Amino acid sequence: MDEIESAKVESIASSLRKIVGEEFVSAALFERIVSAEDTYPYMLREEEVPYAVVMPGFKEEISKILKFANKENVPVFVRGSASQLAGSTRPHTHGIILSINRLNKMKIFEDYNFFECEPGCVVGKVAEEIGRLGYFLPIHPGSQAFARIGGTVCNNTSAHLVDTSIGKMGDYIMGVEVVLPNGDIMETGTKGMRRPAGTDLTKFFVGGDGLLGVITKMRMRLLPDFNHAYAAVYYSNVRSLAQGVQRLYYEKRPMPLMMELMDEKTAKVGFEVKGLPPPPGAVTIFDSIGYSKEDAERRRDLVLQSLKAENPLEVEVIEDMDRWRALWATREVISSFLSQSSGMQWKSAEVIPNLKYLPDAAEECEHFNQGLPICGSLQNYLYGHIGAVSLHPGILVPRDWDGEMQRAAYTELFEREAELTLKYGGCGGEWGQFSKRKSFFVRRYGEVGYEFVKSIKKAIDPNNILNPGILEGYR
Amino acid sequence: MNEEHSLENLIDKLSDTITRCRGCMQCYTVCPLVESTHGFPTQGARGILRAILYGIRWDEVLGTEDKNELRDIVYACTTCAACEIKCKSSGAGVPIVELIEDGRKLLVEGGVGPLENQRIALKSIESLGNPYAAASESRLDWLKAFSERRRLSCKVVPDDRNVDLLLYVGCTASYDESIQKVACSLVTLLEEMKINYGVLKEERCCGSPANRAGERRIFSDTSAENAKRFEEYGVKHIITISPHCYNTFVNEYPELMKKIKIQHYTEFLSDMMEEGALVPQKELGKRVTYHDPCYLGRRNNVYEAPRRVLKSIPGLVVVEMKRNRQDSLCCGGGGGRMWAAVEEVTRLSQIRLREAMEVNAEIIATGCPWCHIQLEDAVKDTNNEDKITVKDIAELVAEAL
Repeated sequence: MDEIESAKVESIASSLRKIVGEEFVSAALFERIVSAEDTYPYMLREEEVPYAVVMPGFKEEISKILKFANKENVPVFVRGSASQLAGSTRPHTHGIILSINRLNKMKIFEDYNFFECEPGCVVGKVAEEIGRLGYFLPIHPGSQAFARIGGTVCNNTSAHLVDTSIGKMGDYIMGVEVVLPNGDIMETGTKGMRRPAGTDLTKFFVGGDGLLGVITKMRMRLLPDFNHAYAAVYYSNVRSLAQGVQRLYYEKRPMPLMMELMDEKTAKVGFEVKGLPPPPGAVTIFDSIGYSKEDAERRRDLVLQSLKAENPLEVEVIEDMDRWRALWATREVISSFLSQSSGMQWKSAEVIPNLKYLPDAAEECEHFNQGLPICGSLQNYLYGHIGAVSLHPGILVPRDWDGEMQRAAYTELFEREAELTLKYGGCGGEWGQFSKRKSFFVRRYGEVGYEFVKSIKKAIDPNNILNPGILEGYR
Repeated sequence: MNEEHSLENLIDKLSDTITRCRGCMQCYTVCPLVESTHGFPTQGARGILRAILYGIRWDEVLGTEDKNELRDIVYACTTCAACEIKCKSSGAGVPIVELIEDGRKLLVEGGVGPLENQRIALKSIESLGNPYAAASESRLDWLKAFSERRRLSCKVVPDDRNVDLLLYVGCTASYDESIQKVACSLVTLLEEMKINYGVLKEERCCGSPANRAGERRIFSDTSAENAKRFEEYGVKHIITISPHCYNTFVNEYPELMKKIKIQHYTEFLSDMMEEGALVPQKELGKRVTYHDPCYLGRRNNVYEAPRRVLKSIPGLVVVEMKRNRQDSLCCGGGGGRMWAAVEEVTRLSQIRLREAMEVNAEIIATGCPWCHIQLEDAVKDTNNEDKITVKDIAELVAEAL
């Protein structure tokens, strides 16, 4: 790093220290590097190394940091645990990394039927806290033991959960407290049980891709927990399985809370890692919910009625929780295991078809990378949240490709994802709309749609201080 | 240095294996560093690995200050291995601790590591045979003093090599006044069981601190010399007081150690109790919880023997802390941190103490001198001396005779 830059690092760090105190700022090189990384394997370019990392503890400090950043024209990149999968936590230029991890308090107000929490709360911990009182958190990413809730709000993602079962997490968010890019602090929404009719400011931030403000608190309705009933169904191919899922909708079945898919090749890996006998084919495992045990079982049986019409190889009603946990684990271990054992880097995509073409899309996703110039010859796996009509093809990218090659491979996979999602008529349902996915947005909604978002961003953040690059699309 | 361990191989191995981590971040959910610091991203397993990777790839642009920062990051790890177990159960199985220790080796080769106090400790191991800068000839003073109080049948090897069991006392139990009582308790038990046992006349450090610090040469010299002596003296069975010595003998020593039966003393006591050779009689009437030392539990899967020993003491009520066995929280003393001033926002030993008090334990029992020291400091620093005491398992059994 040249002298001008190191002088800038020092001056920015010293200003930040005045705002949050000595111990919550780091200007040390490795801290800056690692704080800019996400789950992607390729290393930073030198121009991506941040100036400083700051960990504020209060909204007032965030406000001061943003005011300072505007004055000095330095970008601010907000970061939780950086487990986002479409590249939106990775900076593409020098700037300040603002970690929200110290904002990690929560409070439950049962008499109001909501809880409030700060964005740095770990998703799994929040689920545990409200779970103890008999409530369910409608957010379930694979990274829940580590992901911070703020990021899930910005993406409005309930991850594994089936949208058509209980809705998206945003449907439960009653309001947020947010620091706007200019440093102003604003509260949105309501404390009442009724959602605002007409303009609801909350919607600018929940699923706002982090473009318009830094969320410092969110209020969420307490959703009573359910009773559960589980099953697994095996098919000789993913087409039949997908047709079974179509039937659930066409035959008006109660959608399960979670309903996962693994194609045969992928399931075999997971079953082997967990020491289970190999599955007879592609598998779906699902979790039906009800207000009583009997209600949940009745709903599971209704789902099974439809699934059975597509000639499954085997139907397994699961009564034993250990068996359910073991099957769930087979799904969870796949990407980590394959990365380690194959010596390659797992990269999944998210293809969202419409319901009508789900079987075609699922079949095509088994050959997701076919014909691609860079990734065409790589191994392809397929799983997904099939009940949500959501597919995750996964590719193993060689580690010995250099960083630029890996970047190009990732970009190619996102382009392919865009192409298939466009072809099959859906839109990304888990990982936000921009960053690596900008080209989908532009192709789907046209320049008009893209300009619309840009003009809102410009009105709220004229200096493009907050999370620049997300809207422009990373490369 | 053989080819297998050459610098290039080390770099290749690190670059290869670190990039096998896919960044699922599960390691952060169990890492004691994350728990005891502000949790900046380098204060957790994956962050440390990525820092090592950048240290390798960007070596040419790094200044002294950057390298020192990298050193502090890499040496902060307690090597407790909680991350490894988590990583394995998530399907991956990256050998995280081994990689961090390899990173330390690399820093040593580059003249950047280890930390200053570790350097002093390692120098002392080379010249005096212990990391505490204590005179080698006073190593057995504790035993001499003890033998003035009671008659002992303990033999001194090699003056008398005819022993069935060698008690490897270790540096901390030999020199640290607060831990010598553990060695005395164990000797009392060996006497009680009428074991034909002995200690080494010139015991030297096992070398574990050198390995943790990445000082391969000091470790290989120390281990080769110790192993040679064990063989020369015809040692057949060793018990250790420290899980760190135990782990080093079992997992890191030269092949010729495989011929010797090596046990942590709690395993030996458990065996003796099973044979009926040791029967605690006296009621202790206390509530005790057991803190699993990382190098006994996670590193070597010894979870039950210490518990069996505790449960055989009449009147002792054994309760478990919320985190036990492989989920046990590190006390903060491992990985060379006995000689490192790692900044902790909340001391790990104090978190652990709180967990013991949450289950209303009156005694925290452990089987590791370093855990013992760390936890005892936590009791004092939080003024809880009247509520809870730290005891080694050997002490409790000796009290119950």
